[in-house]
Amino acid sequence: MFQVGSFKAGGCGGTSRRAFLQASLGIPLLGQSLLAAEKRPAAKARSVILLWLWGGPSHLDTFDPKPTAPSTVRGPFATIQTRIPGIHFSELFPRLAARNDRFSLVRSNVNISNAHHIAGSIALCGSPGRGGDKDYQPNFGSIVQRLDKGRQDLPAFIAVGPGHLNTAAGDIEAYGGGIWGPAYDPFPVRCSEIDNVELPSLKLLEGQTISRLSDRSHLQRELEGINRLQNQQRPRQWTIDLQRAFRLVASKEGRHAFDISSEDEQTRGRYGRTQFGQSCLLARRLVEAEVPYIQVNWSEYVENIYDNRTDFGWDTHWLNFENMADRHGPILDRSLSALLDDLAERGLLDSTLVVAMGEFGRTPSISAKGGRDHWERCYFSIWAGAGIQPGIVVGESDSQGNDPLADPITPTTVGTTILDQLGIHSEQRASLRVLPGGKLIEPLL
Amino acid sequence: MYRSQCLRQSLLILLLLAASPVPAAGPIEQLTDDGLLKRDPCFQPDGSSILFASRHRSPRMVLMKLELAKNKVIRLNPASNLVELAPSFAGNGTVLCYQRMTGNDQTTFVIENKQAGSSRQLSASEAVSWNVRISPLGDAVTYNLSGQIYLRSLESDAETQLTKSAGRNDWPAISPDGKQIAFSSSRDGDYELYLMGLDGSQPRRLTTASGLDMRPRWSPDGKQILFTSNRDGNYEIYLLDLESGKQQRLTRHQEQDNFACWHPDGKQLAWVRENQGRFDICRMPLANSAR
Repeated sequence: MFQVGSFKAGGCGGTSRRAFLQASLGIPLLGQSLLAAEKRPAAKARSVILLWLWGGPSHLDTFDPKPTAPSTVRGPFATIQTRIPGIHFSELFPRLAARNDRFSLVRSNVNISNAHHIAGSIALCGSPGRGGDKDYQPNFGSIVQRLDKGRQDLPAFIAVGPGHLNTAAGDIEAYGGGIWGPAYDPFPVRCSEIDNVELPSLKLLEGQTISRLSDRSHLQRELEGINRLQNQQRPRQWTIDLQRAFRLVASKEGRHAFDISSEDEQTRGRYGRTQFGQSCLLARRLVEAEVPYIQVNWSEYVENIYDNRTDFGWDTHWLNFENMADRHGPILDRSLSALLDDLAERGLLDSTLVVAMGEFGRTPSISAKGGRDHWERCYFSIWAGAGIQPGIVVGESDSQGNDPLADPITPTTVGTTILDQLGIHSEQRASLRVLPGGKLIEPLL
Repeated sequence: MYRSQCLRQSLLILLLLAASPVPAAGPIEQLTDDGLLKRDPCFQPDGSSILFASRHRSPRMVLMKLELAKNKVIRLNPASNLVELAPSFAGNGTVLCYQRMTGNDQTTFVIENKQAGSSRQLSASEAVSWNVRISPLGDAVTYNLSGQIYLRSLESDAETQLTKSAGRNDWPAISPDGKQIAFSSSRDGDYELYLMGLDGSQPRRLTTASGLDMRPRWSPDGKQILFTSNRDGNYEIYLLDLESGKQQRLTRHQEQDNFACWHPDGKQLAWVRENQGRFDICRMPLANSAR
């Protein structure tokens, strides 16, 4: 079932009905002319799916195990052989180990902050903010959104997950448009483990189903109702999201892309009936609908334990090993494996870049709390599809996973590589003043 | 459609079990069908219901009660908005213990005594205790704190650290007679099952398989232990006979089988099966040969 609306937002006072309908159903996306003026070299990726492992997964307990390190470092998990001789993963990832000839692994990612909100912002936009934790560059997806000249009925940058990325200390800054403003923020979509896809932007239409909204006269009545609201405090982003949402629901194909219930049980089950699994499935549907940039968020909060807001992020200061064994490991193993298989079987992997990463890794040494703390000096990322050489490992960490032995991969390099695969090359990046001088992860290409 | 798939899988399992020389378990019965993420099932001591934690229409795992006669699932604490996990019973079911998340990196455990009409919320000496279980005798709880196992007397409130080994120690479970604790430890490499005295003395290794052996659960007569292992590729339920040391695989399934618990009659078990990506509680009898 596709259900509409879910968060409390202000009204849309001050917007005329005509203007609103125009904005909702027909206006071109901002910045489109920028791209039209340029000649784009061929892109290897038509779409990108970024699986955002919010909170920072341990590299040692996942894809860069250190079985010969002391027990205070290596942790309790055994390692298993993958399809690539000599490459081992943690025992918690048997499915990915059985198909790592389908993807490649970077074991030498580095960040420059060990604070979630800062490192997360940097990892998602490629560079530090100006003047501390503010004035960040746009998210990679926001750059795509600005340049996209694709279909008008679907946003170019969609974030699938339980909500806006948060930490207990506050929101992440570089979630979207950054210094370009909220017009380039991702279009938020929520996807639950059982049946529902929600468009939080349409909360005002609480209780409406997508089929009812597809009735134009009904849609018009709803818009008139919204126009009667006179909330002077409405956030601008909400208005932009609402416009995008209406454009989407007015389109049959747009509605279909979000109708995850039209998938058969076998396919839905293959991804796992978890929020992350179903979000990955929705991402595949959005790729089919030619959405160029989809960010799937593992959780809303980084925290692993947080009373009634807990959604089990990867921030495993406590219970790293317990939740890795019971939850995080099996869910990631199943969902990512299913996504790669499904994309490949549908002939979409060659044109879809899949990247999985967090904002940093976790301390090689197990803490006094029995977990692992933040570690920005070395972590992993997974890369597949769209011209990425499969089955290789780029970079190597030292014997205890403290630091890369050579060639650290920075967030700038990550972002440059993602955009380059999408055909957004150095000239265009320079014209937009994003990721200046960024290098590519050459061994992957 | 889903039930028929489950039936087919059950039949397949039966066929596979029939092909093995000593069938250890009988037909599988699926007890829930909502498919929501589940963990920690635990039979009420009279066998009438199963408590378990489930992600019940929210980001939270909360305690649910499956009333077996009515085939009805209800929230155990409908007013609670905190994460609840790991229920376990003591005595004849009058005492219930479970874990509750109360804040950022804060957990507590709750001891409810229905007979006395009392409820206590206790904290361990550090903020996050995990895999809390009450002694069948109701006089103590065990838990994992920072990778070591602790015992806390419910009479004196004294907390004792039972393990101080290298590696991690987790999933403690006190035997029905209250004299031993089964647990998992990575002190010798990866997670294996161990046994120790209630004071932490004389730890003895029970399993040696490569891979993760975890979550031991004592049979009511104290002679056998159910546990989860990935030694054959993914999480399956195994049975260990303490006297003979014999280990039998009880489930054969391409997806996860985890969180096993004993029925109070000692003749059947329940656990969480992942089937087509959905998580449901299943039950099956143990064959006579396995008992």
